[in-house]
Amino acid sequence: VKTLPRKFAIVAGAAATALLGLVAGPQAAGATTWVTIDGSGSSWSSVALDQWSQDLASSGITINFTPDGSAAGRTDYIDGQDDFAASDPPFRNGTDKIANDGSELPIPWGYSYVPDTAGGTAFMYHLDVGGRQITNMRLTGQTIMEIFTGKITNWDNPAITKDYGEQLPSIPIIPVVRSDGSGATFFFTRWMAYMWPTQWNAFCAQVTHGRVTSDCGQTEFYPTGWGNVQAENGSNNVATYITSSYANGAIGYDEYAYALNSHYPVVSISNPAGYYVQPSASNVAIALTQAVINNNKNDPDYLQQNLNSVYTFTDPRSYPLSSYSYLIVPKTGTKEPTQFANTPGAGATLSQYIDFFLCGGQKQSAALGYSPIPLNLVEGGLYQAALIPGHVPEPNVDNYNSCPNPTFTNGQLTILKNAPYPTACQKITAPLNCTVGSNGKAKSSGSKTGSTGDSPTSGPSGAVNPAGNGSNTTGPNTGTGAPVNGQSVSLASNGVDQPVFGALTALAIVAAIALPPGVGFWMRRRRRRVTR
Amino acid sequence: MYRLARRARGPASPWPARILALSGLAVIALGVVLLPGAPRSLAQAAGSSRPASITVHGPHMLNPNTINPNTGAAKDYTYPSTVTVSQTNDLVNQTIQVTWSGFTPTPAATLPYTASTTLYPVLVAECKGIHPTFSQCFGTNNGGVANTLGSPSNAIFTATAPDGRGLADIQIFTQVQNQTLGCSAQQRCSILVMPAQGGGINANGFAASCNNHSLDSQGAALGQYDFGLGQPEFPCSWAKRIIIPLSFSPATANCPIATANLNIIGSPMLLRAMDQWDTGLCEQANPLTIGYNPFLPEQTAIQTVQSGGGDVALTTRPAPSLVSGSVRYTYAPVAVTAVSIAYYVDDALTGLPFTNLKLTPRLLAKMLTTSYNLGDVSCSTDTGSGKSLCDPGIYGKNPEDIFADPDFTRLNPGVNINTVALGNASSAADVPIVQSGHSDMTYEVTRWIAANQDAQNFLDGQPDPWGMHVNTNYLPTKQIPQLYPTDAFLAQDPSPQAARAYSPVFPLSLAVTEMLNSAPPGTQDFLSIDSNDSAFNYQHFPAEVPGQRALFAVLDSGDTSAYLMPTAAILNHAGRYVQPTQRSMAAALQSMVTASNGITQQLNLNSSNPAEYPLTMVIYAMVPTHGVSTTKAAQIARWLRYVAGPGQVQGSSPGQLPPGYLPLPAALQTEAMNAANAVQDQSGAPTGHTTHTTTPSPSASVSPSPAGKVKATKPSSGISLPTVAPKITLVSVRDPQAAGGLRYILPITLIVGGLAALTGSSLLVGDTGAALGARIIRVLNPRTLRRKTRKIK
Repeated sequence: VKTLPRKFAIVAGAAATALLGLVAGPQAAGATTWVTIDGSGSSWSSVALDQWSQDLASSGITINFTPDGSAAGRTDYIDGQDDFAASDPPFRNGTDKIANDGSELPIPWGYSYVPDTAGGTAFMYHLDVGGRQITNMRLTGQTIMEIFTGKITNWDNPAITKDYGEQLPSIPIIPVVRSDGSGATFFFTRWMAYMWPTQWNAFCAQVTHGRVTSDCGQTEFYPTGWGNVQAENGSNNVATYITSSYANGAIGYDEYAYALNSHYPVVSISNPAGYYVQPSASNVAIALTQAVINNNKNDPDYLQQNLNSVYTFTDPRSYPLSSYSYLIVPKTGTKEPTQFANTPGAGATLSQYIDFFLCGGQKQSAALGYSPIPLNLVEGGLYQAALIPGHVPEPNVDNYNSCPNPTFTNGQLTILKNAPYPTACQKITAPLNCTVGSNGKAKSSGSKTGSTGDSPTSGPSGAVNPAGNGSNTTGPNTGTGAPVNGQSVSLASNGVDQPVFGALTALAIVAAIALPPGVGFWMRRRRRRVTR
Repeated sequence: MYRLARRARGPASPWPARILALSGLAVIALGVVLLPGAPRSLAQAAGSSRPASITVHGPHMLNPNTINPNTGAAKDYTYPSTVTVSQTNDLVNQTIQVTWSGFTPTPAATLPYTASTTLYPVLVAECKGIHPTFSQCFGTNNGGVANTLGSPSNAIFTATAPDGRGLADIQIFTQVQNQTLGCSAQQRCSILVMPAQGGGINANGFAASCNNHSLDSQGAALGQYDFGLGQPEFPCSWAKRIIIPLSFSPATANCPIATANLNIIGSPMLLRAMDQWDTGLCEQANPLTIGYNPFLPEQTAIQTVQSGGGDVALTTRPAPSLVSGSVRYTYAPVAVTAVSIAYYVDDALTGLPFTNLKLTPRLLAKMLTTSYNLGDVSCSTDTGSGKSLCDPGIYGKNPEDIFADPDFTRLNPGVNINTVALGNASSAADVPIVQSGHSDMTYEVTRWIAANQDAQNFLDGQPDPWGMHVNTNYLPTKQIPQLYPTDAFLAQDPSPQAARAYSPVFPLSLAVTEMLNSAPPGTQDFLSIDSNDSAFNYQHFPAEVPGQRALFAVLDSGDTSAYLMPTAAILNHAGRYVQPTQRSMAAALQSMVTASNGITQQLNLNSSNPAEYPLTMVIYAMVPTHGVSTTKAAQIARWLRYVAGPGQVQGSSPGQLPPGYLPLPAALQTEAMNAANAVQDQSGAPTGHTTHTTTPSPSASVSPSPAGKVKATKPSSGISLPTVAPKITLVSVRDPQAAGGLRYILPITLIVGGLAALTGSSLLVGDTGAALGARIIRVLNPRTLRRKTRKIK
């Protein structure tokens, strides 16, 4: 029960001073006092949320975020115990048939949704064959669905052989799911329910023992007790399980950041254009251009996403399991959650945090395994932040000094503009030992590259293959400040040769693309200072 | 670190002249004791910005052995009580330690603390003002009921040991954390130490003399009455309170929110230092804004930087290559830190934490391999075969937990299953909280374990002298011929009990938070039947309650120092048990071995120096010496000169080095300055250091792969021992990419080095003055000081 009264409010003026400081350079020390604010929820987005609070630590802003899962975060908000919640799905409106959970609406307080980051739900897997770890797994969406509905139970299944391009030995599949209420589960099951309604409904009927037979829909609570399923509480425990020595054959889903930390590969998933793609920042951004965003500012679900067209998008780069995550924040003119109401100054701190991550913070996304969000969501998010009681003045997204978001070029996401296309070898029909010829077409190479020689768990020798080595990736421009225009970067060949490292490289490249604008900004600042 | 330094100083007051001692009767008559702390001016006159402990003498406390069973009359001890507070000035949001002696002991049978069962407890709280009323002390108005974890109170209800001593670590709230208290440079606050003293009530339940203790054992000495405002017992205890004034740092961190000039990635151990340095840099006249990402593991950080995703990578182990495209890199030492083995283990007899535990590599290996019998749980059986799922090597054979292991109890007399309050800890006690993913910390810990012959024998399957066997799931296999060293902790025992308890955490800051909240990250091995849980879920272990904790964690000394976590004294190669202190870390630096790159150093696990702490680590910045723009190069060089120069002055002000880190010794500082010059020059000249010889080894330096077997009896492959006497030796640089220009490297290095020494030292002087001028103290990274735990339904 958190009812800590916080009486000594900071005045809005102090917060305004801080914002002025942002524009006018360093301000006098001691001008601003922020209050510590608390949030909880999405572990999917928590690595990004943590990075942004780390970025603000030197400005005296403290955000306590507990990554206890989206469902728990929303419950905390409903209970009035948080200043904000982080949730991948919106408040449940009564459609979680599998969990048999009722609607969370109406809740006692007002709220609005602020998009924070985009990302791909990645399938991290552990597959050792003959002492070597498979790192180039590729699967169609259909196969993934059949694995997670218990239809495909062994890695030697013909469907996997067809997708992967090579017969694997008999290794039972261990599907790893989240046992706690999770946004990752929500988006994954929503995708399956939309794409394969018949199979999904049949699965629902099976796991609910006939309670749910039709229009099953998505759930935040993945059913357990079927096949080989292994349930784990929280992202960390999912990663721990998959990387354990006894989890050969395991495959689980979560945000890409966790696979990055574990140096584990993630599956290349086929998209409707017929290419196997990784959840890279650019592939996610491409996919989400098709998200239908609720644009009614008066609707409580303003800025919420409908992903149906994302799933079916036919751009060859699109990673179909892409989505946005949100903060749930108090709203002016409505009842405020207990803790927030008792914390004068919480609104200034919270809105400053949001303003920061929607502007300058977005450039951090790619390196962490996420993807920056597009301009309309940045603008909508800033609009919502300006509806938080006690908010700081809204930054101007058109003024780089006010909102230094370097992820756009002329209003479009830069990574979108420069997003590399997959190679011919990523086509679903391409053989496993495919290499890209000098003409850009696929050809079979003599040797198969089924796995990397070193286990990624063995330390730097195996885990770190410096990007740019041994692949036809163009060496990313390393921070010289020179513009990086239209790099002919082949994410694809990386994806085939060394999926893990390729993906890492891809992220790094995206970061490299995002970096020069930052450098440019610095140079502009520098010039400004000189002319002053 | 200063926790240890302070303790070494003993209970004697550094300012005896300031001590105000009052007799017990006088205290009761006055009704209040206000014991002034050292004024700020005194600390400043002493020329030290370092926090100093303060000891005050308080009233004479009740001696319960003198209670007359007929009249209830009792005497006080003949000696006054004392209270020591680890720091009272320049406070930020941090933990301080309050210790006392000469207090009324708490009968062990009444522990752990509850308001309605524990006799003669002690309340420690933070209060508004320096003459607070009881109501102005935060979190005290619950009738002695301790706020459980998950609530925002920092008040502590605890006990006094039979010898009259006790301690409490209390988190200090500033106005940022708590506006009710509102503590700031303008609003002084204070620490309340209030002993329950019983008395005040007679057999008829009416208010009586404070000297009527006839009902103490029946309830008059309980927290619910003695700390219950309005109760007849309350005034008797309030009269013996001790108030120690606190003063706060003038301001918190206040950098403008701006786009970072430099992006620095890696070494999560450096988080606290980076936060203070970043603040120092942004507060300079020409601010340098740092974006720091502590979430990527070191080797990933190197890769990310070398592929353009950042400017500087922080690492302890060297990079696979110092060349990436047209960019060349070198290493610059920026900090010395250590892995510390933190624990919260509470004494069932006193309710107080143990603070003097020792650990060996084998004991840590036993925990990390889940080789204890996990609280002797009932073992589940496989539904199909009916076979036990528990490991046959441990189930029913090995000790149920570390406190039942003679290997541990022989080292730690008095700490055993009879004295440790396991509470709800059970199997969580046997599995330390560790960082997940790939980490240099993990590598150093497991390298230390593997270098110890006893530990290695145990891991190889030989029982220890008491017959304990390693969990067979961790035995060497063809695939993994040697478990350690490794840079990632992996779960290997699939039995539900072990698998669910074993839960490495990402990122490191979350592991710190879990430990701080005594909330083990593992889950129960059974499915929840809680109706609040929508699905059948594996619930997290409940947070452990102070007074009943048994938890270990592998963390870093920056965090354990900031939060005053007890850390284990661990066995070094000379056979001594050593704590991570400034002295022991400095000793470890003396004998470090240099990798074949000629720069990066790692601990020498074969050193015979008894003083050294064997988990000491040097953190290096991998910085570009060729291939970046001049502006970028100048920024990186400036950053390096700052952090390796004025940034090595210890303190909690912006720009200073926080506790838990050892300032770089002169040789490493010079090395960093050389690197800074090389970065500025962008000529691609390698840098090096000249204090240790290096045996060139064609096989790349410190091999992190399991194949690089490290034994106590011989140096690990690629690691060369330093010569005994430090002497100036030319460095052989074996970086293959640089080999072509090798013959030019030495003269250039020496020239650059000489220049750097000059430039660096002059800069150092200038910057130190600037840093000392900065008087703004920022919040000591309160981000991880979460007042809230995971919700447990």
